[in-house]
Amino acid sequence: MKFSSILRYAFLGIFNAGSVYLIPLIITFESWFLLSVLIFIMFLINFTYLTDKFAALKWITPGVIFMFSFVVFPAAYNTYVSFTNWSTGHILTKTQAIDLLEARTYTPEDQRGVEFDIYIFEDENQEYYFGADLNENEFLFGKAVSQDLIKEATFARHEPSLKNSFGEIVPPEGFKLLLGKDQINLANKLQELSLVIDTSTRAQLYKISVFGSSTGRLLSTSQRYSYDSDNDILYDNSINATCLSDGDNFLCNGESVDPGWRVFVGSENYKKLFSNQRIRGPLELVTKWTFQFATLTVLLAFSVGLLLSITLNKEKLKFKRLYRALYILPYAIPAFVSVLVWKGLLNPDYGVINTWLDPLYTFFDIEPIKWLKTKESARAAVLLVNTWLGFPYMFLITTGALQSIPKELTEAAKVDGATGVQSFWRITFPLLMVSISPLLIGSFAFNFNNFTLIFLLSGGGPPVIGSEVAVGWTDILISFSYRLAISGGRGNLFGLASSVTIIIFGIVLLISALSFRYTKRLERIYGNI
Amino acid sequence: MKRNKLQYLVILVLLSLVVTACGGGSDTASDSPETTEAPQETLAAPATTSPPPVKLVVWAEEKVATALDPLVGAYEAAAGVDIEVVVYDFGQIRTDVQTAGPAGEGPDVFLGAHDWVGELAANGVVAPLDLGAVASDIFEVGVQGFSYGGEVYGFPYATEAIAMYYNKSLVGGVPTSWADVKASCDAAGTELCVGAPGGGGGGDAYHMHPFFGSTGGYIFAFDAGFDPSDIGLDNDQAIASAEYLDSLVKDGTVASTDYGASMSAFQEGRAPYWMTGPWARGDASAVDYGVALIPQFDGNAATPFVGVRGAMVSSFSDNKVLAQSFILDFFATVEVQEAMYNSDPRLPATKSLFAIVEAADPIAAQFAASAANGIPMPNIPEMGSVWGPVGDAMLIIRDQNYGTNEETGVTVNTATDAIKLAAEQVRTAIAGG
Amino acid sequence: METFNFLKWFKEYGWRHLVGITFVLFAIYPILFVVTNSFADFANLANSKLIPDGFTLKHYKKLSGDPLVPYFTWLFNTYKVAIIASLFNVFLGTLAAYAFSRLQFKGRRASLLTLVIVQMFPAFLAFVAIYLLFFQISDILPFMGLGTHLGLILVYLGGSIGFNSWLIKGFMDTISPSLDEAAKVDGANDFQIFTKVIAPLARPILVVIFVITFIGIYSDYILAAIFLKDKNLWTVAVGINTVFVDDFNADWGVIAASSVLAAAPIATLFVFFQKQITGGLTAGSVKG
Repeated sequence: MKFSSILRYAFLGIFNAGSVYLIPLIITFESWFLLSVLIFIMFLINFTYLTDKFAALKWITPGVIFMFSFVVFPAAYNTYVSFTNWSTGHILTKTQAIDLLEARTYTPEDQRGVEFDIYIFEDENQEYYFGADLNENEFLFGKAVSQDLIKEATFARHEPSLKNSFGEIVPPEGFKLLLGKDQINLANKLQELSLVIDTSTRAQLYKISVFGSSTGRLLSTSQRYSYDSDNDILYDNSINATCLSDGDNFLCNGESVDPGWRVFVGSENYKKLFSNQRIRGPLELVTKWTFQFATLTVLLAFSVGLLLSITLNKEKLKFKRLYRALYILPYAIPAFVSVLVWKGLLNPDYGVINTWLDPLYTFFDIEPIKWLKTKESARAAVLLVNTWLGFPYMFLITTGALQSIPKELTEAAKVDGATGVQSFWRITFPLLMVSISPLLIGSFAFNFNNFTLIFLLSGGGPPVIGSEVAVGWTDILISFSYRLAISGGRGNLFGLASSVTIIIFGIVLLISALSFRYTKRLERIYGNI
Repeated sequence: MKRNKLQYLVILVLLSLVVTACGGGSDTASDSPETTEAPQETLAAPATTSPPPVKLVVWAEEKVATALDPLVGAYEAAAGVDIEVVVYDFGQIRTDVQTAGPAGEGPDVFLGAHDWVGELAANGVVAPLDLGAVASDIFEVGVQGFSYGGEVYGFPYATEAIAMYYNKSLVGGVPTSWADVKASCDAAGTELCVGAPGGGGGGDAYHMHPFFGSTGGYIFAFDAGFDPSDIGLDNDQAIASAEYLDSLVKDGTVASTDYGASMSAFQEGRAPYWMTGPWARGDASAVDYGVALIPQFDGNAATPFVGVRGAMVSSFSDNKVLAQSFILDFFATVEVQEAMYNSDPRLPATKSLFAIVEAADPIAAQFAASAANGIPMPNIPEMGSVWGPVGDAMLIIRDQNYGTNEETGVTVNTATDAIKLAAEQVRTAIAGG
Repeated sequence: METFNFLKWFKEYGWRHLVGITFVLFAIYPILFVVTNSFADFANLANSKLIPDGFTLKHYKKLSGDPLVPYFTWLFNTYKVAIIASLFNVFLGTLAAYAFSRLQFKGRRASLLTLVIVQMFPAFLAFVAIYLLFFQISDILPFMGLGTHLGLILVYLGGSIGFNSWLIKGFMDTISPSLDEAAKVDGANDFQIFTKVIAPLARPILVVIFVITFIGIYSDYILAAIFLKDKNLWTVAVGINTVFVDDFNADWGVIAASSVLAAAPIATLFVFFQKQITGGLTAGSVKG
């Protein structure tokens, strides 16, 4: 058999063996995300490489594996989240929320703030006993029991013999007094135990001290909440209330109890977006600007990039390498640094831009532009900086694309008498567009969601005066959804923000699909030269 | 031929499956002597070997962690525990505690800001902390900051509030009235007067709080916790203060500069005053500076927003009592607090530390005095809806950006309009949810 | 001797220099600002001075001696992660591009488009999903879970096909199929054609893709911050953002210095790689 086939089967064998080995492990950890991703990958790899068919797939599968795991899967997760009520107060599962509630203790008013020394004893059977030094007449001693044994426990008794006249502790026969260090090693066990004092009071460990004696405090014998799973009712024992669930929270006496839990809510988030009037107005405004911003930014960066690559596209031009190196530099500086530098340059009072434009201002007798403080100047600034950030990329790809256009075409045109400009527009440019247009579409999609720039440069501002929901003149859909996410009525609204993300994707998808249809036409016309 | 190949393939695949099924099938979630919790119950360490030391994981931001790390050795030795201090990006602690905690990988103790408490408590990820005897040593404003729904959720160790920097070579101090401030600027002949900065592109309700909160205006009323239904942004005092701010901007007392511009104006001597916090001391040292209280409003002391830092316990920790003990018995002691202060100087939240700091650092004492007049930023989740609208209103007044908005038809011509609008936006945001 | 005809020179070369220099200024000015501020005593981005007062090396010193700020470790990490991820990115992308360019199969265009469009999904909350996924991976395969460079690199590979493949495919399409035929006649199979004929010819575009990918990864903050908690594993973006950027304040001098140090190698590399992109092959010589 061919060497490549041997290699292939060996690889498959190892891969399958490894995956099958991992699956039980994954299940034990209840890692469902990982499981679904792994099963998909297993299926894909076996499907692709087991047979001789699907030759093309063999080339594409490696990349697809990564794309699935880190692009598709998160997108699917995002979609899932948009159908939930995930927000502040609703991030846990119902089970977790109930566990937390049931773990809460409470102290009746009159026993708040009572602190006393507490001593811990261990007997031969490794059972624990507490000694609570409440006051002169009450040194209560008894077995420390866990939560479920409280009801049947015997009450602690006053045992003055345990503390001698010098104030030292004398452990009873067969018992050992635990020091701070020992207590710490058993801390997570000891913290669950209680010394029952009477039907409604118990003592628990409050603070373990390394030097000296630990401190205890008094609590009610019942936990604050008890949950009746058969009837889905929560009881608040501290105020004797019955709390019913309203879908994602328990309500005690009309008030929501924190924490609530995450629950599937169907299309409620989407309905909110489209029907809630106070969101719709700003949403429309922001959508319009997002389109304008993305389109203009691509156009501007592309124009500059193209201009430069044409300018430098001459063989004997001197310093070509130097020019090219300098144009790539904006790309090399981390974006957040350059954006902040630009913010400084655009400072209306002391920034360099206004200093340079000063002669113009005095000549036309107008006020210096208040960059980033008015609607128009902020939008202009955003476009300017994004052009600066984006033109190196455009320059790179147009240079690359220009390389791939055969010289003979333009030379032939010259022979036929065409001028430089004509041969450019009729021959070079269409060919360029064939290979570049998808990238322009991609750049459009990227800038449609260019959160970093907007956030760092203008913060979305300046604020739109009078809108019901806080929104700014340079907010794009994604920065607006971020605002919604962090400043919703009550904390974060991830579910809602996710639904905005899905809608954004829907828009981008639609536009891209349509644009690609158009470029298909281009390809057909020009692709065969 | 083809059939042979296919047969061969099938056999190979089946074989590989069989081999692994025999070998690896009995694997369970064993091993790991570490106390890394799997999402189910933690397995108790087997009693055959001596148990590994109990481990407490502490999350803190860079500077704090660097200060804390060398100090925990003493506690580790005395207590026989292993304390792991993990360095985190400050903002990330807030988010990660909420994802890692429920998944069993969170910290036991984490150090963060008080305004997280509302969100964390609502999400159930932070455990109440009984301050006990230690509470008497803490300034009231610190405890308020960590109070939510009748419980306290953290031990406050540092506060932070703004005051007024002044350039000693230009002015002699900070007068108590704004009119006198203006007079001193005129006398000094500087271009700008007071840099009361705003943040980035948006406004900055934090820095501007004294301007609307000193005479009776407030965001949320406080009564053992902040009350989201009682908003005082548009009460008479708040409106009057907004108009007063407007007049201060109009007559040039308050400059229309953002943070960076205020800073460079102060550094370059173009403004004798800069209203900001203790973090800026390094930058302010470009000139010979002093710090004093912010001028009064109508005879009332200026009320800055106070930020409180504290140590909190994660409700998903398996060692809550130990975590609590670590905080109250070790972290809260004056020795540790002082060492922390020396490495990451912030305003002390405890009275015992304040006594030490006051003697050594009079500038810090000024900031602390300013903080003593302040109120903590409301820590409830609803606060998230406040920063935007209030910041925007302050920005409009500071930049005098009045006018009518073509899109919405709403007119904001005065400071009164601006702050009323902010109040409205906050109410609708909270109600609408 | 031919006299120097200014007009002729200008029409052919002069205007190019004019445009070129103008845009060099446009591109470079903010960068100069960063460089000079890295040496400034009280660096602040709101001032307008290109040449600020007070020359100091203290920002650079802060980055090179302080054990609390292992900047050069960060630099090394950044380059390590970015180079490895970019290399594999290009490799995967080229494999896929070859299939789309050379192999005939149903739905060729549609599937490539699908890949491109899928990649456009806004990554806004994707980070949470990735965190949870790797969280689970950490239990099983800790060497590639959270807190590892390997895990981070794998995530970056998610973007390997899609745009990259489209661009590479476009370039490959211009490589004449006659070369493939010639190789086939010599008995080569698909993979050999790929490695021996197509890939070498596609080198210019591969270099471009490498650079673009590299820059994207090197400036990434969010994913790296999610993955890397140990200070010694941080990349430059994470380190600078965590240590030097505060709520209101940011140590601009150090940030500027760190940008200079981080960008210098890339800029130099690009000058070096330039030849690959521009020199060598032009599409014309491929035909015939």
